Amino acid sequence: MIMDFLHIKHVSLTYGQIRILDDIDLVVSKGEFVTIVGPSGCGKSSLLKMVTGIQAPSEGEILFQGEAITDIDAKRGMMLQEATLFPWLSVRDNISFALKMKSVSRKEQVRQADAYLDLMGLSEFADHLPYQLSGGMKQRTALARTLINRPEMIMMDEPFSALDAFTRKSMQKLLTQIWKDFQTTFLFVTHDVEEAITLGSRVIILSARPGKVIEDLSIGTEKKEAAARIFTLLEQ
Amino acid sequence: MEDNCLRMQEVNTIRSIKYVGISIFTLLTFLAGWYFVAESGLVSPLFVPSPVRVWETFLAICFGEGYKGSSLWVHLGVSLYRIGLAFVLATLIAVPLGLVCGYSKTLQAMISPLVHFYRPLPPLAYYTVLVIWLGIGDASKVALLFFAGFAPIFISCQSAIEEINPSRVIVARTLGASTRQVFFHVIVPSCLPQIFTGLRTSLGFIYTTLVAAEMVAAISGVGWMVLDASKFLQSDVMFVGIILMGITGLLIDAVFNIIEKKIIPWKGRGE
Repeated sequence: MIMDFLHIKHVSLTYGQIRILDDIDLVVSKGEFVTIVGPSGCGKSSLLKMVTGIQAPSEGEILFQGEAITDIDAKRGMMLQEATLFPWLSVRDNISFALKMKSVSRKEQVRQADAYLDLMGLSEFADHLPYQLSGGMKQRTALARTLINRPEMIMMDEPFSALDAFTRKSMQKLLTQIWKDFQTTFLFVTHDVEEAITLGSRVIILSARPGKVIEDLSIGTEKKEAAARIFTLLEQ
Repeated sequence: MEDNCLRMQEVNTIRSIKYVGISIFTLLTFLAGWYFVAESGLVSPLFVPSPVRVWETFLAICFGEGYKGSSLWVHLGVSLYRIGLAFVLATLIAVPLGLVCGYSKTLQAMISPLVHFYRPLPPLAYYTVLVIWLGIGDASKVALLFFAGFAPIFISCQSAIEEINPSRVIVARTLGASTRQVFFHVIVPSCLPQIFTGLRTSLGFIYTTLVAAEMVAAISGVGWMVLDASKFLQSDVMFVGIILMGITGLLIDAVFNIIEKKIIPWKGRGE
């Protein structure tokens, strides 16, 4: 039997009397860009927390590369709505944080961080502190900080929802490019349908609480481009 | 955009120059008023010595025969030594203890009640006990100042740990940080701004307790000088002492400010 990359096996979540998630059963393959979209309060963030390993499901289990998720693992990177950068570290040192934790030599840290700074268009800001950055630059720093650790999967919890429309668009473009280049698996939670369709190779729609999977759609490149055109037209 | 930033900076500088000007003006008005009141003979020099007289006394204590056998610098030096020693001891003990108590609820339950019991006590209330235990030398004085400075550092360190954004720790762990690395690379730096606030409050408390500490059986120190001079109604000496303590306090605070801006420039600016 081929081992599934990520298997969310009949997972439910209950807080006291409230049922948040109801029997979620999903298999995510390596290299997919899965977006999870649903109304607020449908438990999509909770689902992501469980995959991260900071929240245990009430029922069912989640297998990552065949092993049950019980704790945070560096193989699964994450990005939140808030960039959550380390305010005392420069942009460069924020990006190279994971390398420092692995005791990589300082020279190598700088070399790799500089490559990511270049990729993110942040080279000019390498020595700035996070508070000196705009919202979009903060998220690009956070993205680079996650990527440098080469995680097998990246979980994102509405990372662009606090950004203005223009910045959000450019971040989405950047993320799509990175997905193509890095071939990392993404699990991306959003309440924005347009964003879900623009980014995802597969879109999962959750119902209102208790959250249930009501649609599971694969979106080919052609359909995606069509959708993007429609959105652009609608805007005009 | 950068141009705008520069212009904003210029506007800010002009504004701050304006406010500094207002402060200097207040100070000069105050000095002029003081001079007028003292020189006009409206008030006895016993209550308000003239600023000229205070200045002369300052020079005399400073460069002349000093006060009661020691120059002003010796008095100031002795006081600063007591403050410094107490502050360093309080920092070395309260910072790690506070951080650990923020981490471990058990330790917190053990130590917190003691700190919260003694913290609101007026220092003079337990000073007498310290003198009985430690004698009338420097030890009891430093101990008093130590206790004055300990609580604010301890409490701020403890609450600093409790207020850390949990996402920061989670993100660090997804980046491969071990528990130990999380402590040294995330928790400790996250706490720095609050630790600094605690240190600053602590130094303030120590400073205000200084006069009390030097009231008992001292023969040196700025606080002692003021109290001793009051016994002989030497109001000019008292004024010199009080003004000097004020200026020293301001300087200490200013140095703290500079260090703080150097070490934690991100303080109060979000993430």
